[in-house]
Amino acid sequence: MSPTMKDLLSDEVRDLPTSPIPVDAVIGDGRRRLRRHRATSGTAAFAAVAAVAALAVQGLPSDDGFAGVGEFEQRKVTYATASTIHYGGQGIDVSPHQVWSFAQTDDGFVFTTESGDVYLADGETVEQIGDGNDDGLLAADDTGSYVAWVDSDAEAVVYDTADRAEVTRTAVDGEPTDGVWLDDDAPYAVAVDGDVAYWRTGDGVVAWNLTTQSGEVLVAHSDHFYVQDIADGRIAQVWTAGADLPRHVVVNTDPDAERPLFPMTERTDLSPSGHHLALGDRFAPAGWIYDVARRDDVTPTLPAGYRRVFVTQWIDDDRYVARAQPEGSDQIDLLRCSISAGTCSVAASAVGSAGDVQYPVGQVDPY
Amino acid sequence: MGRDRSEFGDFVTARWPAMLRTAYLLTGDHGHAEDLVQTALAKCFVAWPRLRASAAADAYVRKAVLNTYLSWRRKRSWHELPSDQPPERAGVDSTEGLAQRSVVMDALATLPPKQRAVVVLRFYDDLGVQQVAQHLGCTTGSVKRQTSVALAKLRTVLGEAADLVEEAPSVDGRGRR
Repeated sequence: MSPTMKDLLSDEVRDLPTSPIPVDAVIGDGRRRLRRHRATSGTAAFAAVAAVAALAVQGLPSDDGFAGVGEFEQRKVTYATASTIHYGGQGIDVSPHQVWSFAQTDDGFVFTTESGDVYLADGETVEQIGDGNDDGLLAADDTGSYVAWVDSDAEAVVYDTADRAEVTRTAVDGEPTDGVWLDDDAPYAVAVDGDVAYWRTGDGVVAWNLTTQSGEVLVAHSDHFYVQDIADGRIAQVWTAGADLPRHVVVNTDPDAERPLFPMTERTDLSPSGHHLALGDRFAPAGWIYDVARRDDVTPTLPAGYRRVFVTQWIDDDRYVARAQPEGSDQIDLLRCSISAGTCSVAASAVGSAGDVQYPVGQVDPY
Repeated sequence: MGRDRSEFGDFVTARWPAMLRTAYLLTGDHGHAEDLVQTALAKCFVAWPRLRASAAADAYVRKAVLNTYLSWRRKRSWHELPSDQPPERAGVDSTEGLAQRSVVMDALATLPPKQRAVVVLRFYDDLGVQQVAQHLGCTTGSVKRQTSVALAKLRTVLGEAADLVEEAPSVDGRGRR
């Protein structure tokens, strides 16, 4: 007897991989939508009344309920190839521009081109919002609408993609005050964490409060710490002091504290709440994930046959996306991993050749 | 009426697996399916005070899954890879989570989004023509036409290996099973 369509479809979903249900992520996403909804309601009363009336008639949701407002709040598997930014199943065409580097905000994607121009793509339009970002370095938070960079005029810029306007433009000095040049001393944006933007200057890493529009040195240049990421107040930095000790990564909320220590790698990415630390190094076969509080290696089991597996994006505090290369291939697969489940599965196969794929890390492919 | 986190969390926990299965059949990709269900449930959170009182949450979230799926498909293409030319991966263990596309999923991938939704709703979720029409915001005649065309396409891919017609649910939504 031939199987029925019901049989065939049921067979397809019977062995779907099981991963923890992301209740917290769903509620967090819902709360952001609610805030946006309320904000929109307050500023567009007529539209809100119309929307409520429509909802009352239909009683059911439309995907366009909050169209154009925070449309990209959710973090999905994201990468860019040539003139297309791939966001989940969506492809956002930014031609004739080519994506050199990019970062995500709740409102879209900010990308640079090789010539240093900075653009915002919101799925409908592509708008130039800056220039002179020759290094292609961008900093954005894991959620929110701020993106920061330092341009070739040595001005630090913070742009709000929700308001479509610069909120900060201030001169930064790359000249070290102590006269000692360290590696890579040109000023650049380090991170955005809530309402604070951080940039590296000759004085050290400056924390710039976007509410008060004032800054202070968080980590002085002479302290020989390289701040690599900041998330929810936790600071990940490379500690270079002590000639008898190898370099380490330290994560803490106090820049003067030195512990806990993690292995030194080229790149560190904190999860949105700073509970997990992703370490990556282009000379290593794969990266690591650490539980910051326990200092445990919690790297999920990787599918066999991959090399050069590194985190490119945090979906939330538990889930992340990693780029991976099948053995013997220069093609990139993207893995979707869950720390609590301890597993990874392929989210997208053969998305492009290594070097041709960019990730939402705010810099040109670091791997 | 407020948003009771525990109550909504219980709803998410209860509905997630079933919605994920439906979303997977719509998208053909586990990651996209998770994104789809998360987005739909987040929309449900916004409307939760009204939904929890009306016991309409199931219908709401199913509708949200469908609308979001169709909207995403309208905006841009999905990146579904055909299985007839799988990327070569020396030494990769297929049991470790690599996406292995079946003939059935490839057949579904040949359907336009709305036809695919009709097939999934009618033949997997066991919804009747009237219910499918309400979910998709179209007429029952349109659902019947879409079903007929979709099955004809599937038949060309799946051949006679499957009984593609007989088990269709009745109009009032009661399936044969």
